[in-house]
Amino acid sequence: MNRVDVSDRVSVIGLGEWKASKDDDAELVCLGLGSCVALCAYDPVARVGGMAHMVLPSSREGRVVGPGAKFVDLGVPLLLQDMEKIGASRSRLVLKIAGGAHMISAAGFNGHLNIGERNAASARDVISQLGLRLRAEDVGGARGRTVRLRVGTGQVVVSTAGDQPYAL
Amino acid sequence: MNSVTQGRWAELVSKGTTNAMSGLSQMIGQEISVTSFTLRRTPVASIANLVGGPDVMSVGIYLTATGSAQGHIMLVYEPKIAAAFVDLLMCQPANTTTALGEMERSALGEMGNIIGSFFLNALADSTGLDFRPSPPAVMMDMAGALLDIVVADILLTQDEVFVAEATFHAADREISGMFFVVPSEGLMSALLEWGKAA
Repeated sequence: MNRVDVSDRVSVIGLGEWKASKDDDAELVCLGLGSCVALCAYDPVARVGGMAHMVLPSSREGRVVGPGAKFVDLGVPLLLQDMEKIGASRSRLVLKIAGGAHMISAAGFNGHLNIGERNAASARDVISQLGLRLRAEDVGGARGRTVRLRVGTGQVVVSTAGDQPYAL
Repeated sequence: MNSVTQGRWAELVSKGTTNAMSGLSQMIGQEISVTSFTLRRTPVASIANLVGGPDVMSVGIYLTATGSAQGHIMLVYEPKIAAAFVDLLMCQPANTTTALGEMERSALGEMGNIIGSFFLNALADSTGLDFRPSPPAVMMDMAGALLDIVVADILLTQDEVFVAEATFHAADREISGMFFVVPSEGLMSALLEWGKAA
């Protein structure tokens, strides 16, 4: 059962998935991110956009099975390669990340797993190691986020439960 | 997980759920029975779809199990189902609760405590292993964000998860909800050993 109402121009990027697009009318979306991190990448000249929904900081910590972008260190290069295949240039990419929340604020869970913070740190590291710069980020806190990238404009919009969406 | 372990796990989760409802019955002083119970194996990447989609507002009650082996227990409900539970727990007529304030969250936390303890006690009694629940955390947010707490840990080693869906029946109302019980690899190994000996 999936009640998410999406048009064929909206691509929902699920856990561990990534997608590159040069369709001006397309929107790439990561729904309900908690500790996961979404990387939004955009080449404003080629008008190529891409998004990856990454769950864990490093492939050194787990088994590499299932969706390729499950780990941040694998997901970032996978997305960038696919964007290059359809005309993006790394040197022009505008990179933004969102997510990486610590969802449990209750006493006794302060250091629990701490995956969100580590995901965000890993994304910064991997991007830096690739010689790229992060333009903006909205990470941390204890709230879920939905992140949308409009391919035609490169606009990234973040929404949290009960608040107005805002441009990142 | 082989079919023998899977069968044992289904048996244990069913026993645990029945025991958890027995604990809940004691807590509120009225009989609650499990009217239907299904256990299914689901890809981790799509579990949020079971509760309506990753961006649907949900209430999560989360506990960890420690002791002989680690695991996660998470109860996820639509806010209106959580409110129905609050009415049941606080012995109020159905549809009394309209918002989840501090007192309502505390009641749901206590429900998590009871369900977690009784569930783990049933597992411990059946297997001879030792399990202890953590205090519960009660959260309200998008389902995907809540489930990330469990998903991140599972995806380190596996891509599928067992999800139990139970329908509960109290004297004057019926409530159904998802019950995610996520065993660690250590717990599954312990269970396999227990299955061989049983």
